[in-house]
Amino acid sequence: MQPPAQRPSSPADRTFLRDLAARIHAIEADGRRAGGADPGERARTGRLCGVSALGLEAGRLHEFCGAGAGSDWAPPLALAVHLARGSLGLGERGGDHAVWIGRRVWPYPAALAGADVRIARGAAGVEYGIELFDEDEEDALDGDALEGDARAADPLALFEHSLFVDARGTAGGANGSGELLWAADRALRCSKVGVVVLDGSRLPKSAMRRLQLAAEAGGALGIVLRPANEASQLSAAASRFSVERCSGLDGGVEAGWPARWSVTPLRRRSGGLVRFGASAAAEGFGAHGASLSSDSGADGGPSSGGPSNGDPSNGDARRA
Amino acid sequence: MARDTEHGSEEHGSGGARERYLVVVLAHFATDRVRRELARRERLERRERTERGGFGAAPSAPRSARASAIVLTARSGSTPTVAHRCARAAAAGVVAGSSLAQARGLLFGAPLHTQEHDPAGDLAALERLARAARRYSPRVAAFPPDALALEIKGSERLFGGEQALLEDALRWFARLAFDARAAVASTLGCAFAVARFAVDPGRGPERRGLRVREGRERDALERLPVAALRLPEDVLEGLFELGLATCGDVLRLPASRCRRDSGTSCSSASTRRSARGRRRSRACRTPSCRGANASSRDPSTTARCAGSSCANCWANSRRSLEERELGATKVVIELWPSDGPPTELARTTSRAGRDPAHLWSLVATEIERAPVGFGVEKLAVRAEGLERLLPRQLGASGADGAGPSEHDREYWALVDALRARLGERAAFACDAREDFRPECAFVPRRPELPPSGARVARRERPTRLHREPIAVDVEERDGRPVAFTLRGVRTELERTIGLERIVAPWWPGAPRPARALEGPERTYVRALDADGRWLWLCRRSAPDGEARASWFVHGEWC
Repeated sequence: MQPPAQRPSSPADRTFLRDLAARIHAIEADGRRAGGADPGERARTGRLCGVSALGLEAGRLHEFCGAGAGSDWAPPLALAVHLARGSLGLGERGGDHAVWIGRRVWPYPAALAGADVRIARGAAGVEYGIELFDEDEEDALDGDALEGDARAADPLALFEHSLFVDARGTAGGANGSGELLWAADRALRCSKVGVVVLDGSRLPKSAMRRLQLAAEAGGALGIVLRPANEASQLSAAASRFSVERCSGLDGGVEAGWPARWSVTPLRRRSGGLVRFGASAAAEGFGAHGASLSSDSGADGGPSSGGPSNGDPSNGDARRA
Repeated sequence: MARDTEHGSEEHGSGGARERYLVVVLAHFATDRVRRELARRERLERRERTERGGFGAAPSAPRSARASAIVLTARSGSTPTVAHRCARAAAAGVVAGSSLAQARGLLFGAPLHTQEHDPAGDLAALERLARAARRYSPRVAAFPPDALALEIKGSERLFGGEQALLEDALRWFARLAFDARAAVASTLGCAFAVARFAVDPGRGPERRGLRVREGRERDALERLPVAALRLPEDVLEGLFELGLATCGDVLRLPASRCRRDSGTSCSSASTRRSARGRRRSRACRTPSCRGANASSRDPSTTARCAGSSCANCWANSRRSLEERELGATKVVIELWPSDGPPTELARTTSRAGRDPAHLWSLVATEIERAPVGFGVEKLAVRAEGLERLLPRQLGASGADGAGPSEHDREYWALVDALRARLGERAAFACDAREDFRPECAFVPRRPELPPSGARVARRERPTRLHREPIAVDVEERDGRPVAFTLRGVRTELERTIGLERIVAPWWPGAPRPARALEGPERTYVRALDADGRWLWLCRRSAPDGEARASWFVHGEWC
């Protein structure tokens, strides 16, 4: 058998190539950890993206405490789908995957290919609602205002790049080695995974710390969905948000649809609470653009990266 | 005692250098399997009754699995037909293909157990039985649907000769409650034919064995019907039309005439091969790639030691794969503990590869958990599912690039690891199916397989769909739901919109819906309750025999 010609022949060549590959890999990982082009891309679409509006950083864990508890717990799946869609490298990176760990956080697959949520500023934080899905609006969405939107690129990308993991073991097992925790750790460390959404109910702080380290190593966005009654527990996540239902009959939604929720920031590990702009309440649901400010002193997040077009009405998240 | 054919007998094996095949035909394998399962359930129930009621508990009415006839059904159209029947039902005149009603009529008055036939379960059970039969030979093959073949050349000495091995095997199958018939011959075809057609089923379980002396295969086949040749149905019909009823008739026919008359060339040639032993039929447990197998005979007393031996074996296999430019998608590890049946551990990968670290990571945990008992006498590593794997340029991550999808190699390693630890079905992607019913619109898909391309319907669908719809009591006013009661709690509905009606598919073969939603028609409505929840309520129209419609919560926007 003739040895392949393209394979480096000497150990020195192999070492050199490995070093070179490691440097390229490090550059890619750094760019990714800094948020890459994702928020900017979304900003250019003319629609506010949840990742940038909430100041979420790749390579970190972010908690969302949904409504209810126990069997009545309703994890904020619509928001998770939206964030997953915004985190995938649908454009330039391509090939990234979303991993959904735990049965209770599996969205119905139609939601992965269906209508997106619309993010807007609310009185207390960010509001979002599921868009009405009809053909007329679809035609309108194809206009200039949404040029470059992810949906126009490939509405089925998230559906086709989602991996569902049935990890039944309790997250916080007696020795902290539950199957769910192991699966989440493994997925977060994979550099080809863009976002990991996991069932974080009863997850202790030590487990969260382990997952936080895994997210930093892999560079994936970690979204932990927890019941509302666990909002007071200690956690090592970078940020924590509370998601609550809004009444469907106020706010000028005469049709009774879309369903709406509000996202309130509870804490931010790297620098206190997120503050939203004072003019937030003036804009109604569905308006584009937000003026999100934070007293966080952390650098390197997607908010600090900002959009490159400089348009103040494009959903740019600035830090104070 | 197993008997010899009239064509001669041997006392000490076959003597020659040829293979000797033991073929075991399990004539009623499917029904025997069901009977075993019924007997097992009976034992469990009896034990539970005893534990619950103590020794003084009154015995319940006897319902012995042994006493009832068993008929397995298959559905053709709307009528269940008989797929398999036990010996008792066969004796009563029940034949495969007849309707279940006819079978009930023929077995009128006799206890009868019927259930749907499970071909996949039969196949898996036959494979398990084949693995267990390695007690007689290391080379065992399962021939679905109901036969096993063992190459016993050499191993018969461990049992005191071919005859003793044959009798022991028949006793073993009888203990397992299988109706077995066996034959030993120098060719696989002859052993099959004799076991299936020459053995007298009326004899006792241990006397249903025949041995054909080496070189006497033609004599053994002479009087057997042509159906023993395992030919396709159309060829058999052609032979019958020509008046060729036995294998001897075919053997006496010139090959050229047979080809011309029957329109096929396989009948005479097949007979000759069976008779003369020229054909080396499908070898039992043929390795998928000889060079990709490695084994170790070093005894291992602990699981860790066995793991180390496996790693060495795999290193040998990997070298062989590299030389052949092949990659494996399945790794099989066989352990032969000294005090138990052999154990087989298998792991599949998403992409073909030969990276030892990755493959070893998939089986390492299983090896450590393997029941090695007092030690492992022998172990072997097999690489299966081989695919072409050309060497490639070094990957960006610095590893040796050898895979068809180098770009996502890390992702596929993650998928393999998840499946290895959590189970084959624990990590999956989704595929769409063109079905209006929400619970039937998506099915799991193996991540390495591409999507089917079915259109994903973009409709208003909830973000969460309950696997089992939650039954609720709904109050209606003017045909619209105004409130519902769930677990005793009444909740007012503030708004209902988005009426959508779905009719059940009428065509045969459509997937079955959730049990609670079976019915001709259902209606969905999006409802906003007083807590601000948007629920997807489903109204199932009343099926035949029910007075009123039922309501369920099938999903939620959350």
